Amino acid sequence: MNEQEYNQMIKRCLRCSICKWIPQLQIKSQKYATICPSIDMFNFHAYSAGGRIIIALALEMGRLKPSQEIMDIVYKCTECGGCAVSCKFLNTLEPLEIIVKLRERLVSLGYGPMPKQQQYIKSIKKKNNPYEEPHGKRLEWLSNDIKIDPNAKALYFVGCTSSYRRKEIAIATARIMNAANYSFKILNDNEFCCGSPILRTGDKDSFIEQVNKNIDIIEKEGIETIVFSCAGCYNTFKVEYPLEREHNFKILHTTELFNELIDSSKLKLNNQVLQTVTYHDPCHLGRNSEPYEEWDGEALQMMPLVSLNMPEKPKRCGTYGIYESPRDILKKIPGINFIEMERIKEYSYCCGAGGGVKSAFPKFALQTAKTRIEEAEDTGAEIITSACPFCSTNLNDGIIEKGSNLRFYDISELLLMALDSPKKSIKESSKEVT
Amino acid sequence: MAESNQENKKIRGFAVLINSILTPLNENKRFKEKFRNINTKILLNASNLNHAAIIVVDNGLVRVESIPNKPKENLKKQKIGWDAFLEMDTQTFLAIAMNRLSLLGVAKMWLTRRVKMCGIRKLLILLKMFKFLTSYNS
Amino acid sequence: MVLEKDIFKEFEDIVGKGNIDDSEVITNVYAYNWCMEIFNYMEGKEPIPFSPIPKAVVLPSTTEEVQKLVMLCNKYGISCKIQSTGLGPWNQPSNENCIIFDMRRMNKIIKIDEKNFFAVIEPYVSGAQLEVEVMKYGLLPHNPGAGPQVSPLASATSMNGPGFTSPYTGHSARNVLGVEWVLPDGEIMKLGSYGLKNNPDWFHGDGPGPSLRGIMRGWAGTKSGLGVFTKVAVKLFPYPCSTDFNVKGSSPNYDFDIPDFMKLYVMDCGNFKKLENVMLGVEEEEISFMCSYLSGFAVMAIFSNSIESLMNKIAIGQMKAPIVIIITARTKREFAYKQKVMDLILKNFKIKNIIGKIYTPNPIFYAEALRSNLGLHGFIATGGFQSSKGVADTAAVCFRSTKSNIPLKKEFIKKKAIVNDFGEGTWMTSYESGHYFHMESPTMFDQTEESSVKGMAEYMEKSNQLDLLKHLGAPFFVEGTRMHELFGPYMSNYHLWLRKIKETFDPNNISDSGFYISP
Repeated sequence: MNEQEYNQMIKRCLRCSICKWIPQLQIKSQKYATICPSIDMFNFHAYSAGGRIIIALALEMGRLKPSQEIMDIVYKCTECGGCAVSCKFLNTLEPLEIIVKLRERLVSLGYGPMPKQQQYIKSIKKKNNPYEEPHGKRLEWLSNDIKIDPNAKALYFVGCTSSYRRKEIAIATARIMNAANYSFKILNDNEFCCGSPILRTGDKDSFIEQVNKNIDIIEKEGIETIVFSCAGCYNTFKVEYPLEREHNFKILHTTELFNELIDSSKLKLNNQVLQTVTYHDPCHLGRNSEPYEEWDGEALQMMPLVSLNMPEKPKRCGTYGIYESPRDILKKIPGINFIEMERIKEYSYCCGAGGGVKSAFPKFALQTAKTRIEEAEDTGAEIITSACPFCSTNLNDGIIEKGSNLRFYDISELLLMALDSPKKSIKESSKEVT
Repeated sequence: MAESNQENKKIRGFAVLINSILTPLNENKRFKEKFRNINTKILLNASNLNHAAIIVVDNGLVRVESIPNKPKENLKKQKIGWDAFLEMDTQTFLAIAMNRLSLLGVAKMWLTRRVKMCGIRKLLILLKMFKFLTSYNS
Repeated sequence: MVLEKDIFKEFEDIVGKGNIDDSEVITNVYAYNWCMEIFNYMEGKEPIPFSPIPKAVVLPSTTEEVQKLVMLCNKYGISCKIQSTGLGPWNQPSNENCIIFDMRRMNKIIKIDEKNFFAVIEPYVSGAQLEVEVMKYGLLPHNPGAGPQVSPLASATSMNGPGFTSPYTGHSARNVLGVEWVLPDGEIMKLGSYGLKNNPDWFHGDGPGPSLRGIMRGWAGTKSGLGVFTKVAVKLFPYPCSTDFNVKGSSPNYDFDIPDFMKLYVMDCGNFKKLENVMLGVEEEEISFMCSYLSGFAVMAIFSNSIESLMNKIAIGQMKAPIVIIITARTKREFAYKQKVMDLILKNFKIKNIIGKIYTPNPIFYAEALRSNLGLHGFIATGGFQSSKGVADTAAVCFRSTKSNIPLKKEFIKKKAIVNDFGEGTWMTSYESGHYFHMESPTMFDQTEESSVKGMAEYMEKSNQLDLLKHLGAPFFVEGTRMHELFGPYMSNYHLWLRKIKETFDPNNISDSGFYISP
């Protein structure tokens, strides 16, 4: 979004509050009708996308000056993009992009990122991960039985969260690829944070540093395909990196890859996983994973006050997010009884972790996770699964906080259970490294 | 070479709109029947935009091409080989296309040079085409 | 202006910490609304989308809290402005000595009485939420044209209330049953059978004794000018067809399984006289779920989800006097009957249905019709629209209003102040199968262009003048003291009675009277 578009759009909010709800036509119950975790928690209109657009306008008009209070409101948003899906059903506003640009504006004026976010940005710059963990420990998940092919053209980009916090996801992913004889390499000591946690805070300059660093390294390796088990890293490489620097890598999420491997019989699903499972769509794998398309058209002034774009500008509404691959996998795993939640796909409810919220506002992140866990519980599912280690962390935290009987497994863990020998229990098949 | 031919064939601007309006006629059996012996090329220029639309009717099939409307020489008959020419601003075009401007109204606009036209007999084909948009597709 | 610390504390003690905020940022955000720039200009102010900034915003969660808040407002002489979902300039305070009650935390469906066809709701239950819950019982509420994301309580108690389904579900004013009402002096009033001492219930809206529904909302509602409505019972109607509501695919290009017994008719009646006769003829038969006159452009708009996809429907925009009718049924026999009636009407009037012949809409149109989502399509041309007019009268008056509006609208189209819809931009529907009719003139303008905002404001003022001149009935925006004093003398001096009501019920003028009447 350029300056001109931003300045035009912030004047056009209708204050209709559609951004607070899932698409009106998808509402199935009163309980699960909302889409925005921020206003669900904080209630004042300022905490909705519409409210933040008004703040953007008020700043431009000089009615408000940047302040801690504005920071607080603008950063209490997971940037999940649910508002954009609902708004853009009929409108041409870009609520999420306005919020992203508003953060960049605040950062440029010295009002952001939030202190905890600044801390993790420092950690990324110094230690190449946001967790303040030694870089040297990044490969601790890698056990001896996992086969890496240093000559492979496919790279498994593990990501910080899988490397340090959700090692079971990295292990399961690697084992699945081994089971399919899918050759892959890893970057070893040369894997650095993708930059997603930085980007979401509005610190664009630091993000661009990360982009250049990573692309330089990966290009030198002669990589053709990059596989991600983290939705955040996937989204960053697929959608955000090309805005700053072109690259020619084919970007795949593990759910896409694994589904292909199952269909081509390279993965044999031998074991029953007798569980009722529901799936949480990660925002970065779902509605936010559509790349930006170049538009080569013209704006036609049809009459005074009315212009239209010919051809129509592509609208990123989450239409082409990755929704079916994970579902296909779950349906193919023998024994799984798959049940949907009410808020799914492009109108999925956020887990609560994104946008720097997990660090800056942990209570907000946790409350949102609990809301999502309750929705999962209401399906009658025993297991909630997803395809993002960051969702995994926050949803797990939500399960613990709520005292829920639900269990969380990443989709790779469930798939591994279906691949492993029958004698291994669910517990044994995953979480082998603490 | 192939790429630049492709680039040349790509329609732009106003022509994209005309294309989206008229090419559904290709699915209209009655239209195809009625126009099966008609071959004509009509230039439709929106004077306030950057591209003109060249409407080609080829034995009952419609296709639309585009051409930049500047310089003026681009639109000359010798260059394009049109059989009829209609130029007006987009607002007037909408009024005509949506049947809000009578023939008398068009005539008035022609007299005051807000509408320019040439090859009136062939232009009537264009008018018939627009009328066909509201005919029943049996 | 902020609340003094001790006063703030008193309000906070009622609603709890975190449920009141008087900061500059929060209050500035609440000062913004759609079309505020038009109303500012009309009052001689800078045409910006911000109203006076309230002193604070408070989030009550119970009727008791609301009562205490109102009493506190009386104590300190601070006015209150009540917002549910908050769409529209009538949600805005008229002065800075005001607190906004954001009713967001009052969001319960209290009761669904499927046997007696009503539901009791709090202010922040949205139309879509209510609809999906009552659908489980095979029922449907009335949703106003503003869309399913707004509050049916607000529409029922405080706002106008025509809707696309009005032939079937009536008008918000007529769907109000029992009400729980916190008066401006803090007294809690229970209207209708809810006010009974023994076995109170919500099924009846009038009495005991004189009916106060007229005082409560009358025709157009008081827009928060006469207290706070904390619960309302609204009438429900049999769901018009199968309640299977299967929306498939991804936004924005959803697909939908059209219910078996649902059919759309779009016909060009050619001229207003014939259109009037067709509309009367259809409504007389009491068969329609939706029966609307929409201008050619508007018909293009309801089938489109962008201005680009609107423009390639020029074919249907050629219709000069289109009528859009949906019939629905719960049984095959009912459907066959309604279709037969429609066939006879079409034959009688020599008009043809273009649906399936010239044009076939995306199935999602039917879902939007059932969920009252069509009104929002009015925004797709420029992002800004507002309606002038707002007639509620006979079909003849509605058409007279439509026709008289055309030259006036064309004047402002020529000035490039409003979008060129050939002056025809109108939405007309019937209430309760032709009992009476509604007409308004949706007009597209550009809220970011000052000349367009000013032009739109001037057009609306002139439109109001025209209503007086040509005896076209009181339009929507006869609200606020200035407008009541303008129209009142032509309408039995109702404004004097309105003022008496205001003075009696709100002696301290606590309820913001910006869109009602000042004492």
